[in-house]
Amino acid sequence: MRSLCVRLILGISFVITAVLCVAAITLNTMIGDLLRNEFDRALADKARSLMTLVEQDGDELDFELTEFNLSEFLAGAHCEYYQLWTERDECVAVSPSMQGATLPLLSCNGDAPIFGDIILPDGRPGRIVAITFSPRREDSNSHIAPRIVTIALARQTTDLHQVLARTRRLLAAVCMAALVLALVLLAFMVRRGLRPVSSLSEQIGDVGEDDLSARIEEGDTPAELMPIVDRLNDLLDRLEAALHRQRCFTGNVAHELRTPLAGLRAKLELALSRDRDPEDYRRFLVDCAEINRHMRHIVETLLHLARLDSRQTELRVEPIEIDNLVSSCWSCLQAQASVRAITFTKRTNGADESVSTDRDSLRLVIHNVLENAVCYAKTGGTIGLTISRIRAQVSIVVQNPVDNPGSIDPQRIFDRFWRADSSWNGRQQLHMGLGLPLCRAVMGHLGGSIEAAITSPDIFTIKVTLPACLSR
Amino acid sequence: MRVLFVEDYAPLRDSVAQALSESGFAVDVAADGRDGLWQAQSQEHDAIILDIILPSLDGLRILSQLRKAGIKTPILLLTAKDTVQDRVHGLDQGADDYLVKPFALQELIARVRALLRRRYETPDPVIHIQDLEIDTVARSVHRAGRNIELSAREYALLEFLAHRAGQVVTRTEIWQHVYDCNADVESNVVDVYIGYLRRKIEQPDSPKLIHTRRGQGYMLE
Repeated sequence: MRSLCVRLILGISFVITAVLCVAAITLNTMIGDLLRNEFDRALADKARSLMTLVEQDGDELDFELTEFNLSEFLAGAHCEYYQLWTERDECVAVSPSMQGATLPLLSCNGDAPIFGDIILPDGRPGRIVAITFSPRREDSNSHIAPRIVTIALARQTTDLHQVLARTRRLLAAVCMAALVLALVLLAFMVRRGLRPVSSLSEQIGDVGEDDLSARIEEGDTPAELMPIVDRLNDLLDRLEAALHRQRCFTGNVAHELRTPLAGLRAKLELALSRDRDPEDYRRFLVDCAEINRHMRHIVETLLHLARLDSRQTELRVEPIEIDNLVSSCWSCLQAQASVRAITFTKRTNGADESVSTDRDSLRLVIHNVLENAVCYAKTGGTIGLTISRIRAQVSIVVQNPVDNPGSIDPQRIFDRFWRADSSWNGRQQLHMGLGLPLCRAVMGHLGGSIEAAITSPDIFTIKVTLPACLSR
Repeated sequence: MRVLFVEDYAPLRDSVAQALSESGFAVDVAADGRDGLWQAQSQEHDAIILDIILPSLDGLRILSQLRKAGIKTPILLLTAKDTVQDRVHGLDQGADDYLVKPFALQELIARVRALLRRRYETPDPVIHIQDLEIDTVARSVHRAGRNIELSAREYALLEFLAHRAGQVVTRTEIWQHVYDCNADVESNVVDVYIGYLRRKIEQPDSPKLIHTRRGQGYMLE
């Protein structure tokens, strides 16, 4: 895995190298063309100056250059070559440097110079220019027709090629130096530019798994990284909340299991601390069995919640008459209610109170809500249950008077292990603060909802709403 | 020694109360915070065992109110909360000891005995008064090397007097610290048990240990 820094440096280096290469090649081509053009222009100028030395005298041609023996046309290291042809391609003059060789006769069109690359008689590469012209005449009014002459001038290009090669080497060296300097500066700039990313990485690395309270500081974070910082801080918020909930839950589970476990241990140790009557032992065993039943209830409820949380519960949808289900649930609680002289009334506001949902899940919810009402209702009070239907929703509202409405927090009543007085008392020995949270989890699974409220000074209301037909 | 146990979980409350009672303690119990606070304030106890999560008033608030009221009775917090923060918080509130559920009954009773020794400044579990030797752990009594058999009530009375050796202890104090509240109040019950004790630990040929201070009470020295 390559780092972002290395990726950036490599990527930008590649681009810089490519740009420098293209620039160098372009520059080299332009300089080459410029020098060649200049070379050709100088060659053509010299050819034109030689043209002035050719005269037509009558029908004869007079080439004055042969009289001067200019040094550049003598054989030597830097010699030049010329040759003169008539319109009948007859050679009329050659430079001494030719030493018997000939220059190629280029076909000319008009008086425009024609250039070409050749191998000079001395074997070196060279450049040739040929111009066709009418020589100067001393008697311009003569009736003799003007002659047409072609002059060719050749010059070695070794020096030009050396200059071009030097230019290429210089360009390559400059490009390499520029590339190295660019890489050094690039590495520095990329590292400097990526410093906020490194800082961000360090801050994330500092977040411990046990303490998620740390947040990533915005500080001088560049705008491009702000969305990441914001998302990470949001994520940390959620993780911290989840960790807190998990710790609370674990603490609560520990507490809820430790207390009956302490009771069980105390019962057993007390029973074994001395010899006792058989009746005493029987009483201890009954107490232990009751504690065991209570602990099993806690564990099973927690497992049920865990399965609901992880969506491992299968739903079997079937048509259910809510009225019958409520009656069935109440029949299980009637004896418990009659002990405290609690009465029960049921009312249906809709003609059809049937639903299609999972029977066991709905039974669990109705049973828990009614059991909660029986447990917390005022002694001698009445629990009212109303079933109504609005469009595709069915609601079940359970109301009961309570002794101490101030101790009930409708916002927290669905928190796991929350109890109105956080205690174990006689009436709610089996209520460990999991019944209503379980109902909420089940209703979420059934696509419905469950809400609680204190609807009048001492009336506690729970409203269960569920779709008339569960489409699963 | 009178111990107040405040716990809302009935099976645990009953078991611990019975275990303490069988260990010779006079035990008062309370099932919720308000009752626990009322009992702690209305009667003198030698130690209080207090659950933290209680109905109506939690254990830490009871602890705080007792300390504010100047009640210095040793208090042992008994709770399922086991984190270091929980323990530190409880002890910083003024608790003398902290025990996490589930616990061994023997350990609880041993810790209560340790609190009592600290309260009465008798660090040695074996109390010596002249040639009388009271082992508060084994709950045995010897005088001049001779084993003395005592009933639970007699032992409780002797241990209370021994913890306050050299001090005059009134009949009311003895009644409050040794007898269960629901026992029948007899004006001469304390005197009767003092008489039983004297007959068992004092012989004609040995010096008197239990002295009567007329109009005040009794003193063991």
